[in-house]
Amino acid sequence: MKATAQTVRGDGSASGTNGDHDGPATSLAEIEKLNQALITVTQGLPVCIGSVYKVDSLSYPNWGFAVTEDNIDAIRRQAEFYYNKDYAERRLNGNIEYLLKTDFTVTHEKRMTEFVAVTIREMMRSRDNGKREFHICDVPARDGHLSAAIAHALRRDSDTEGMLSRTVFHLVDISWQKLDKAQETLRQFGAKSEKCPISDEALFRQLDAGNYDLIVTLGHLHHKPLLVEYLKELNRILTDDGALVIADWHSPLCSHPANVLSLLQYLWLEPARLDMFRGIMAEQLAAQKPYLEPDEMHSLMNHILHWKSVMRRISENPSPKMARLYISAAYDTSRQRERKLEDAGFSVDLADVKRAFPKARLPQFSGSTPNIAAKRLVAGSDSATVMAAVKKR
Amino acid sequence: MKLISEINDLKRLDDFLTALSGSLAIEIGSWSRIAHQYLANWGVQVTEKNRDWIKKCAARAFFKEWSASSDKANRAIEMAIGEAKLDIGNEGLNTQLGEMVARILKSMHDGKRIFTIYDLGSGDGDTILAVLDALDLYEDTQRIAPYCNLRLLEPGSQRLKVAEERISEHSLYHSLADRPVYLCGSYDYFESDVGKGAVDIFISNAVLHHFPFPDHFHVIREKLAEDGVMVTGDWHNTIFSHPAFVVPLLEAVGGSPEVINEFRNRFGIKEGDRKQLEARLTPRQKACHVGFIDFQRALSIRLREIKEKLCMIECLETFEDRVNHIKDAGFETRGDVLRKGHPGFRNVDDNKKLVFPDNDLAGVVAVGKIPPPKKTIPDAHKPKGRMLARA
Repeated sequence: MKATAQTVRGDGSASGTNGDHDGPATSLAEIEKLNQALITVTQGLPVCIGSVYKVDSLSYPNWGFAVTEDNIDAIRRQAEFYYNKDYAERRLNGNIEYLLKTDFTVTHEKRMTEFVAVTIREMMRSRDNGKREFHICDVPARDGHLSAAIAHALRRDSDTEGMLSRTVFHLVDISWQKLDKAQETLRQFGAKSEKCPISDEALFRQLDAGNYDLIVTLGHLHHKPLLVEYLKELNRILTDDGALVIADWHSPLCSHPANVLSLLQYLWLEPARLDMFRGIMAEQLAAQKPYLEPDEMHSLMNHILHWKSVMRRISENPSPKMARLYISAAYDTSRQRERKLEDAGFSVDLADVKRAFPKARLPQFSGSTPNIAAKRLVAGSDSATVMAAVKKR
Repeated sequence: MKLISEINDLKRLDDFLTALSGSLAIEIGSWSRIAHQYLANWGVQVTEKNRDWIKKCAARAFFKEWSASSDKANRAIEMAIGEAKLDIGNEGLNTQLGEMVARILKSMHDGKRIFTIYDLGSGDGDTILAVLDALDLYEDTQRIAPYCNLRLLEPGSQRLKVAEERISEHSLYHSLADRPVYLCGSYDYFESDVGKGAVDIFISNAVLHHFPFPDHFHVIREKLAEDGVMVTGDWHNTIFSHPAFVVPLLEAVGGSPEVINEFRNRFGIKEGDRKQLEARLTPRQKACHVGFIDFQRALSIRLREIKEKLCMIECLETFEDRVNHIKDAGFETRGDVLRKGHPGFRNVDDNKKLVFPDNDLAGVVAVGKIPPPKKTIPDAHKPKGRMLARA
């Protein structure tokens, strides 16, 4: 499988169909063969590579395949299939979520949550006229922690407390059980909510343009391999003066097989399995790795250490029902994310965000690039970042 | 009910509770861990003679339970908190506390003073991290970080290690005045740790409900600077204020009718007593019982699954009782007085905040020592300029 350069746009759409050339594979049969081969490497282990369809579409060529107009629908379906399969496994085995909750993820998820909550509170403060209703879409709502944090942030400040009664949280999640809990959690804060128990993509398809004032999402967009098209949908369902606030994990781990190989070595994968991986990815591993900025390198290390902690937790919590955890996901760097947002019609320029919310006392954004509305929460690392985006005018 | 105060009688009461609930996944635990003001309702009279013994007994009971609790049991607690939908409470307490501390620091920051922030019972660092997060939100508060010295005290060495790791990853870590000090020890260590007036801001979350007597507030006050501040968050409940309230709790954790009858007989609880007592509670206080019973029910199921045991009694008290104890120790607790008289409270619109709108389960209170007015020389005694010139 060759991995010579081919430009793939951020949304995964490609310049044309693939003919017989030395570029990345584009035929579904070949891609599926690669996918199955990679799955075999870690078969039977608690930590698996997972499906290659789930990595960021920008990184597909680094894995030896590419998106074309002919294969994009099939790739999207496959990526969704594997995501839903992993999600179902998580729901059936409650142990998985526990194993993934390392000190690192718990700490920074809380921090991202709080940063989003204060950002949203300030945005709402800027727009409030004492009467206005706010519609906030939380996707995916999970147990409602992010929405509850927003409700609590509004409650903490006597100036914004009154806005809570005029706010409706639209909770999107495919799990009824989680939505019930989310609604109950919000009720504890006296907040109104509506449950949307379908997948996010399915919901967006049903919605008219300009449906929500604010959209928040926590730890979710790294599950979207074709992110730009997803972001375009978010752009469409936002009101013209709305804002999107994203908190997510960033890492170059899945952007190149060499990074995954480092992780597998770090996790003490058996030599035979490592050789199998090297064999499948021989050409890609021989090719030059994309350059990483120091903060991206740091986030890669954080990500590898996270998996090391997960392995330790697995060994400390032997369970009769073995959990399977998957490495592959559409992680990107926050710089790539900025570009994707721009491609989807958003502006992440801090001046634009401030202009859109002139009365907001927005928290201090200090991202990888100056003047970008992004806040990095781990010292010197790109790992956990919150971004605010408004529609381009 | 006849009150008992003799040590032997008190010991027998503990033996009774242990024998009664020994078969349950959640035992009743030691009565000595009940907040002292409620002990008379349990038939215990606190006297000068038995006071210290009760304190030691409570500390021993807490330590025994704390050292016996495994990772598995802690995980069961975590899951049960989630199932009782109370998980947002702890986060709510920490963020509320962090925000209050950041506001106070912002008002007190003068570009020179180094603030010693002492976290008692730091656990794995959630509370200090909430303070750092609140400081990290804005540029003007980020600038305070180089003037902050952190001191964390926690009895669990593993948790302290986790706290150290987590804090070292914080984006403000390298800005701090010095590396944080991590101390492994219990409250006794705090008593001998820092000298009088050495602490500027004392913080603690979900810890003080392990102290049945409020003596520690006097100690904390002594260790605070002249204008020192104490910000504490905690869980509150009246469920252990009377044994009649414990009956539904025993039922929820699987107590048999025999166990419940014996419990009722020992404390002379008659039909209708609970309803009468509940009528004296506010709706917000009643709602706390429901939340606590849901939590203990969920916990008992989890504990049975993993074959572990815990105790239910804790020194929980009402939010009002807590504020009164703090006031009795000499702190200024009134928000309006603090706003006028304390430099740290200028921007604190409400120094007593409850996390939930419908119950008193979780609350944060910020109090301070009002600094004495600066000594000014009365005009009559001031040397006149002309005289100075002549001299």
